[in-house]
Amino acid sequence: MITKSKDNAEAKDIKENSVDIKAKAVKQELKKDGSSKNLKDSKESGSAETKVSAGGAFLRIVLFTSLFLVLFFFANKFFMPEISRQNSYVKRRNFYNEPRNTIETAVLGASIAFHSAIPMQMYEDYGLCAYDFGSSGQPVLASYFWLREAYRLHGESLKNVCMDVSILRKNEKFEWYEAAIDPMKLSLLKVQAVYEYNDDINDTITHLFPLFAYHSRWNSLAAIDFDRNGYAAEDYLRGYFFNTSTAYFDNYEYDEMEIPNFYPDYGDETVPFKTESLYYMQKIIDFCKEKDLNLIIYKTPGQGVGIPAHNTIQQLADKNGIPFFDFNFEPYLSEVGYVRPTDNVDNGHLNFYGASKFTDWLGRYLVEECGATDVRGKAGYEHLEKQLADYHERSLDVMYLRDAEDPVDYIRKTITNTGFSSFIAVKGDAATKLTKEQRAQFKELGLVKLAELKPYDSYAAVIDNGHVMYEEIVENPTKKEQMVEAGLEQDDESDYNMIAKWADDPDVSTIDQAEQLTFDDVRNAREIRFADPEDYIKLEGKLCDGTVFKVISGVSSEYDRASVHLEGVQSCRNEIGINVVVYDRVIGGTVDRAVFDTGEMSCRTGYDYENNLSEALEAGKSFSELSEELQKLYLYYRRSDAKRFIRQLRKQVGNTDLLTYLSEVIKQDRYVVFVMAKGKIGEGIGEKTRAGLAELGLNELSQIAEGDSYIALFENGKLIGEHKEAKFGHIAAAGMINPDEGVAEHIMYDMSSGRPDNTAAGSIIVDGVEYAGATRGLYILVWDTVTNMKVDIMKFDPKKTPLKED
Amino acid sequence: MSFTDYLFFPLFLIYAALYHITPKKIKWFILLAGGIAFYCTYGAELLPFAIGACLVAWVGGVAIGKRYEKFDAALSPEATKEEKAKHNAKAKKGAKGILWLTVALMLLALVFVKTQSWLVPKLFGEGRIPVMVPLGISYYTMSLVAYLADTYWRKVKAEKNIFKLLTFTMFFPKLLEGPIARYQAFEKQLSNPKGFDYITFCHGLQRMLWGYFKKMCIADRLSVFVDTVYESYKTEYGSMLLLATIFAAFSLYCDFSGCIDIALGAAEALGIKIEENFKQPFFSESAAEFWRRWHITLGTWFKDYIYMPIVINPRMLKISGSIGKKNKRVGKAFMSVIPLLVVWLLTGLWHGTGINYIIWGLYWGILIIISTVFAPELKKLMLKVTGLLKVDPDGAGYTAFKRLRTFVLYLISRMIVLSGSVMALGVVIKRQFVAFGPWKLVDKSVYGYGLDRPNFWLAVLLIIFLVVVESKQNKGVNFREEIDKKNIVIRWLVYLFAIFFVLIFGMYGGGYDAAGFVYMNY
Repeated sequence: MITKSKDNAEAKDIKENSVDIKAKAVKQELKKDGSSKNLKDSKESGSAETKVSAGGAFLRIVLFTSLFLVLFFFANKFFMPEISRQNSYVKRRNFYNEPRNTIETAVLGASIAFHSAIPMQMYEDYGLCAYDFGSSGQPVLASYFWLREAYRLHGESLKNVCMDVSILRKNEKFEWYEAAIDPMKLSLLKVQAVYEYNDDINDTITHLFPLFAYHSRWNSLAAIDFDRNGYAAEDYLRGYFFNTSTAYFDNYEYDEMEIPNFYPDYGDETVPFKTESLYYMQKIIDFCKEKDLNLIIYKTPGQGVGIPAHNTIQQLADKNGIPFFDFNFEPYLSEVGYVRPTDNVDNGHLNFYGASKFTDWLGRYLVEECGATDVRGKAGYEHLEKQLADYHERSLDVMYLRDAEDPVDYIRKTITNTGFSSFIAVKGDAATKLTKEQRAQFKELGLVKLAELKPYDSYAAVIDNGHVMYEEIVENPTKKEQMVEAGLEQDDESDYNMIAKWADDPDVSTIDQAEQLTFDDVRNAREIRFADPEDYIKLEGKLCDGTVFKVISGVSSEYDRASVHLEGVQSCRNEIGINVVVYDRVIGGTVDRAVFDTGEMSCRTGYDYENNLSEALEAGKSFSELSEELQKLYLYYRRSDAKRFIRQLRKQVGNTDLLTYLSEVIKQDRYVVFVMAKGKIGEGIGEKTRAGLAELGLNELSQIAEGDSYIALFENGKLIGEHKEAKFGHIAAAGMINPDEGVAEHIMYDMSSGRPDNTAAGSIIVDGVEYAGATRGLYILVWDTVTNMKVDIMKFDPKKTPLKED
Repeated sequence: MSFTDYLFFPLFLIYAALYHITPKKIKWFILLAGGIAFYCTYGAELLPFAIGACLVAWVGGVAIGKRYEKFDAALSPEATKEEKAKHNAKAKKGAKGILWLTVALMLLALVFVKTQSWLVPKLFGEGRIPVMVPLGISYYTMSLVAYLADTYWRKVKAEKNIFKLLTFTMFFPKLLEGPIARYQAFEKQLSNPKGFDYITFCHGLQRMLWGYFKKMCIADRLSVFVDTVYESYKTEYGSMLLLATIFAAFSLYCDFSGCIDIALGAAEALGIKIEENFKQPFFSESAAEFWRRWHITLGTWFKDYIYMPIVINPRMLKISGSIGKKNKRVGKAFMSVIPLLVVWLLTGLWHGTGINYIIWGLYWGILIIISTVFAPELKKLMLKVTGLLKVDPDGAGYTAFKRLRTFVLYLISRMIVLSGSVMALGVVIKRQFVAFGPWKLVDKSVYGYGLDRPNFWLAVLLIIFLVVVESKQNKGVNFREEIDKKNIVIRWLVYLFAIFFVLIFGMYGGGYDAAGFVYMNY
């Protein structure tokens, strides 16, 4: 058996071997055929070469390499980062178009810097030639290298360097370095800069060539990447980012707005900065010294860097003998004339109004202290005149926009300025008050459907590059039904007729009476009637420069909204009426957002709100008589004042001056003050203090002894009541405060001190929230009845820290 | 300086130009200088390791050679066969001593380097001596051991010129990841270097480009997915782990063979031929064949210097003979099992010093042992099954099945290594059965492992492309020559397209961590 299988195996082996041999033979034949085929091919087509001469080789190598380099050059262009970064990039690239040796003043720093100084205004007012080199989150390293770059091309004229130092506190992200240095033209300096922020040869090479740095964008390339010239870059802004939106009007609700910290105090603390930031800051300082440039460092008003950082920067400035202007402090704050709610875009950046004031100050300083040159009319500076004209036409146009009170006027302006793209979205009833003339004018402008707008129709439009690109209107069917139901037909005769028909008042039958109805009556009447269909319009697309937009107008009681999204960011005011958002394609940002609701009083900018509020208050209006928006502003100011007041008071009082504290807080307008003793506090209150307390009317408190319970309540300066009980006897007071005006109708409170079992305890509860701490002390809760918010909770512990006696 | 550093390729071009304009007699010096310079980019302080090993090998080789020379000279021409044999045996005995000494020295260095991460703290306390990994120590040690063994067996003449041996040791293309070159073939090219041939030069560059494509576009892309999945292997579904393992199979292949292509291409551009290391391994039809097509030079090294010596060792022959007397088959089996076990255990250890590597080595070892020892039974089984299913054992279908089967075996081996520990391996295998979750593959969650949709599908596409190309290569198509046949415009379009393909779709720069070469720490 075994032999047999062995035979079989062997036989199989032989067979396999012979198969192998056969296969080999076949293969060789194939090869032979193959190679002969080769010869045949080469004979026929003569293309497979066998030998290339040395000269031929050299020529081919040179040619191939050149081809490669050309393609490489173009590939770099295609992969450059997206439009959103184009902003910074384009601004910096424009710098290279400036005639050599003309720039005298360079502004460095992060986004705060390029929101602060307006080179064109400096030219217009003082004839200065300045340029803004800021970029988003510009690290100090990048500021240094841009300074060097500026010097490289404008060394003969460069005299002044102004730098905003907000970035010193921050920890920069890597992308900020990229965004800052990418726009620099390839040069030895750029290689050095890229190397210094990468510290590695491979990373350096990566970031010198956009193809290497951004090739991974291959799966998100868009048409815009291949059309670099379609995005026309204007150079008149000279690096400044033009923005007229106001923080407290456009971007935040008043109750979301951050109350600034206020720095009446200076203190001595300092804070360590990042080594790298300090290193490059020193390099900037040294470079300016070496090249005899005036260096000024500053911090724009609006958001301080904090006292410790301020001190650190001041020390740095003093050590190096350079001026440091922190515009959050006097006298600079007043000199600039900065008004917080209206001169900021958000919590940190100045808007155009603020920048205008700041630039004025800076320009004057440069002329008076640094001897900056007036270059108007000088040879070689003619380009600045052209830029000034462009500046007026493009940027200041927005200011003219804001002057427009009439929607037609406004929209017409956005059409005639072809650099703008505007988006119209309707919310609520935007039709009732439209006059026939306005409708006719809309028709003339090309907004045919807008001319036919009826109450509660949804409407959206996109105007791009001077003509109406999309326009959509949707009639609200339910409303139509109900209109018919109520026996109302469409009547174009008179606007006032429509008001009369819609009011629920059956007595309204004459035009005079109808005129007397306020718009609110009419509006409220309508809102009761309508259900919520989902007829809304959504327009999505791309502008001629590739910006992605989405406009929504939906009118119904539940979904009634108007929104405009640009590159994913919503910027429509979404208020009742005709909402318009204006986008400047040249700058690449929204420049204005307006609402035309002709029933309301005109409120187009933050300044308007300010004015309206002061007018209303001067006219004697009470809080409840103000409109909702003005109320919010009013509350904001109260909160702001409260914070400022308490900060100053705390600084003054420390933890020992009970008398001053109490007397000050009691005096405040519409404050309620709760006083409560928890634990042993009698000891440590001296005679003078007690006398003072008695003068305030706090007789019980002036006689308080160790182990006494105590509560007291002041309302609007008047002592409502005070109680004292020995041996921690339980005393309590609960009640309700009814403020005359303010956010809340009632404020519930519940105070107690001591306990039934005669142990130390105490609490102050307002609207269900406990404000007293767990430890021993004399607690004082200060409450603003208008904002219905705590102003302060203060604790004195006389046993631990005896109270001040003088 | 890694092959994928930006500066490598331009510098290499300059170096190649320099090499080609150098007169033939001094070309070796350029090679040596290039090797040393390349080595120094990894740390000049590691140079003594390589030079030291080379010195030891040289001294050993010269000593062995001298001994043979002496004995040969002393042999009288009239000696009888027995006398000759005795004489030579004596010569060999002394030479053996030299061989063992020098080999032991070199292997000691290798073992030390491989185990230093836990050995050094044990001997010298924590953090006393910095861990040093001399570039290419695994590869050049093997090459030099091979050289010494070959001098001992008189297959190669001992090299008297230290510089020639040094040039061989330090020839930079093979330093990073091999192949494990043999001295004989290289020496011939050193003594008689070829002149510049434009077409060979271009072919070399093209091969490098192909290697870059495999490494940067395929391997580095897949490894993102693989690493992300295996990071959370405890909670991943079996199907995802399986997919990651499949990707890992191609990833490792493209990484390793890509690097080899760059190395061989660079050598070719210099007019030098070194050994192939891969031969379309995924088209193997058995485990044994796989290891003849994957990491070829490792396989041949182990065959020539471990397997054969054990097999022909007289003691082995004696033992197997005595076993064979009782059972012939077992005796025969003994002759393959023992050496195979040793080979595969050592192969596992060469790859890494964890339990997983030992398991890995034994895994392959057992597979190959079974296929050798039980060859007749397996064949019978095969015939039975194919007969039953009416499948032609020589047909394309069955061949495809065999290839797939081999690929699955390889997949399992990848799983063993990727898991990193026995526990993890257990988990990974368990999850194939306990929590397979095939729906995870189609519910778009595959896009969440580091590769977004476009990248994921590009990876898949490139794998398919690779398989198609390799299947043609397996049939004998030589793509470089095929392209050569087209006219110059088409050729250059192809090359430029390929170059920019790598530059655009490669995983490098901005944000991507170009995965270090996997086999580099050997």
